[in-house]
Amino acid sequence: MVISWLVVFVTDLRPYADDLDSAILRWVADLRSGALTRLMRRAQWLGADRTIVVLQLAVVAVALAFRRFRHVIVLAACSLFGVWMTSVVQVVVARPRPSAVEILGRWNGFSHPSRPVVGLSLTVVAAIYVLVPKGRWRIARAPDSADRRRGISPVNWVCLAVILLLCFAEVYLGVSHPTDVVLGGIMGVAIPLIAFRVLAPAEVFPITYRRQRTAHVDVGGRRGAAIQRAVGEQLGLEAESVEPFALEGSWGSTPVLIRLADPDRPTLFGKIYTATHLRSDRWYKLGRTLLYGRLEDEATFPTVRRLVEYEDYLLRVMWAAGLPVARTYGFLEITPEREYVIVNEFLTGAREIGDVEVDEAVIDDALRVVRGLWDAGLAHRDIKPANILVRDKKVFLVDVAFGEVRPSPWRQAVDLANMMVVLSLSSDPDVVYERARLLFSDDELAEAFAAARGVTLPNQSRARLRQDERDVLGRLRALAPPRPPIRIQHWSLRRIGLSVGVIAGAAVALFAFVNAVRSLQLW
Amino acid sequence: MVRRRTLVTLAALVLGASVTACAARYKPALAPGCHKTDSLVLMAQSVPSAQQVPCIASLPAGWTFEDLDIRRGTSSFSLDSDRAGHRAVEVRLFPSCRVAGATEIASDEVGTRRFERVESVVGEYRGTRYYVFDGGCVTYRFNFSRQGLAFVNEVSLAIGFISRQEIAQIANRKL
Repeated sequence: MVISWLVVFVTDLRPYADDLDSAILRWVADLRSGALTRLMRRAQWLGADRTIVVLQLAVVAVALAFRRFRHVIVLAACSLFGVWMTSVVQVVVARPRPSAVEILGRWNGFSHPSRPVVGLSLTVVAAIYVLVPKGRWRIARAPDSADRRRGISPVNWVCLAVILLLCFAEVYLGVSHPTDVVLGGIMGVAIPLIAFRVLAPAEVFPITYRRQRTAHVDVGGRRGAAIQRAVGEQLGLEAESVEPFALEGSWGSTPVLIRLADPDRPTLFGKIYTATHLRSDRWYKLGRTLLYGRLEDEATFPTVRRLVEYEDYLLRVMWAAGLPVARTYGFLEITPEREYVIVNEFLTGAREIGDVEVDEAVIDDALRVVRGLWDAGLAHRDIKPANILVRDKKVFLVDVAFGEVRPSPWRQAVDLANMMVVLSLSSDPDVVYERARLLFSDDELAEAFAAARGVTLPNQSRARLRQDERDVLGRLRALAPPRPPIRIQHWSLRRIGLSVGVIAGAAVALFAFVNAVRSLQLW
Repeated sequence: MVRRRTLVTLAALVLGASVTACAARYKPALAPGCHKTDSLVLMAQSVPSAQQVPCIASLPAGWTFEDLDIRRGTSSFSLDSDRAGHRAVEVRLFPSCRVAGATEIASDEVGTRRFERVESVVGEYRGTRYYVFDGGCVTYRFNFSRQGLAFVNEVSLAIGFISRQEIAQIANRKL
């Protein structure tokens, strides 16, 4: 496209381009008839400002509904870049409308490139990338994938037909030259094509309409192959397959099972961390800071590498302290500073505590784990059903990334309260309390339930408490000696500054959005 | 992936900066001067019935071209003045216009009838001048930040008319 502009305008070939365009325009004008003209005038509506804005807003609405925030940002950037680029090229080229035939349609500004065609092509291609899943409806090229397929999908055919209809209408009505619509179409397709492939590739940010956590990434294709390769190169083991595992219980990473080729070797459990997970962690901690102030150590990790290093370190510390955690094999580097996989022993046969019978043996073991954390000067900080596994009446802790060494007594008390809540949900609060008194003093239990407030309970535990007909938390609080609740709201200059910044940012974004919609000046 | 992103971002920035630099350089060239053709051809196309098209004959000191807006059915451009203010005059071409309430005076442009309507002379000057001719009408919308007959005279000198036939001859194309 750039080369064709340079060739035409630097080498002064413009008169030849004009002659060619005029010949095609006259040939098309010979096809004019009353009915076809009416139809083409209607077709021009496809490239109207309002149509483009409504289409883009509809795509954004669907993307937001499915939490595809990255796609929304890329779409907005494409739209702004497209508008800016079109305006600038129109000013530079300053091409009048066709004079070889009578103009029958609506137009606005210079002719090259065709603004309606750029707008519609850009919107349609962006819509495909934001809305259509890869596969049957959108055949995408996947160079390193085993199921390499080429071709044009039914959706692409429909979109191509719509764009071609507008191109023909513009030429038929004498509004644009053929070269205006061709280069407009190339420009409108190229901008979102490059932007989405580079900034939101389908392999990393797949489009799916199944319910899934935003933190989960696709483990097939190139990523799956890269993990298998890394297991071989970095752990010296031969991986046979990498498959997703228990996605529903994981918020901040993508858990996978790594099956080894050697049948005598145990299956490994891995968790993929990417820059997206790091951002999710940052947003989560920002939200907590805004809502509650800094509860304790809400500092974010600067890089994915640091996040994985920290989890690996905590697993080793807990293992050394004799706590029941999975043995770590270290971590794999998939893409430096961007993508890592932490690899542990897979606890074969272990099940989530909510899915097993919780008797006194399990209760005692779970409470001993908390006692062990206290004695070793550690806190897990995310004790919830999904992070407690049970195998042969023995309790295991997983997902230690939020853990802390040398935590405050308050943080340790919260761990105790959370463990007692989880155990009570699967058994009887009275029994849990009685067993806890064998390991913890009344004062420690009183502090635990004075500290257990709102945000200190993980979302999963809160959801299960709501589903339970019994007032489990109320009963545990009633059993514990009375103690005033521990305040968790902490105000700081950072929290005030962040709150003001977020409110101001939201107001500016809302103002810009309302302005854009009211003026309909996007295209 | 990071390298690809960096390359694409750099390419977009370089392309954007080059094109913007070109656009900034070309913006004055968009001014519909009476001897420049691209903008005049498009203005003539916007009102196919108009036998005359307004253009910038010569800009007096302190006056600059501001912007150009051309679409089917109407065209306009505006001028800034360092003394009379931003968008001190907006010149617009229509297929026809209503001149009810305006006073007809002798026209200074060949083949046109001229009408004037003064709206305010207190502190600032606001008013509209109409030139009516075959197949079209041109309005000058004055919006001076202060009074001054000199500004009106400067605008009269700055803006002229060019016939459709002359534009076609200069551009060497049918209009």
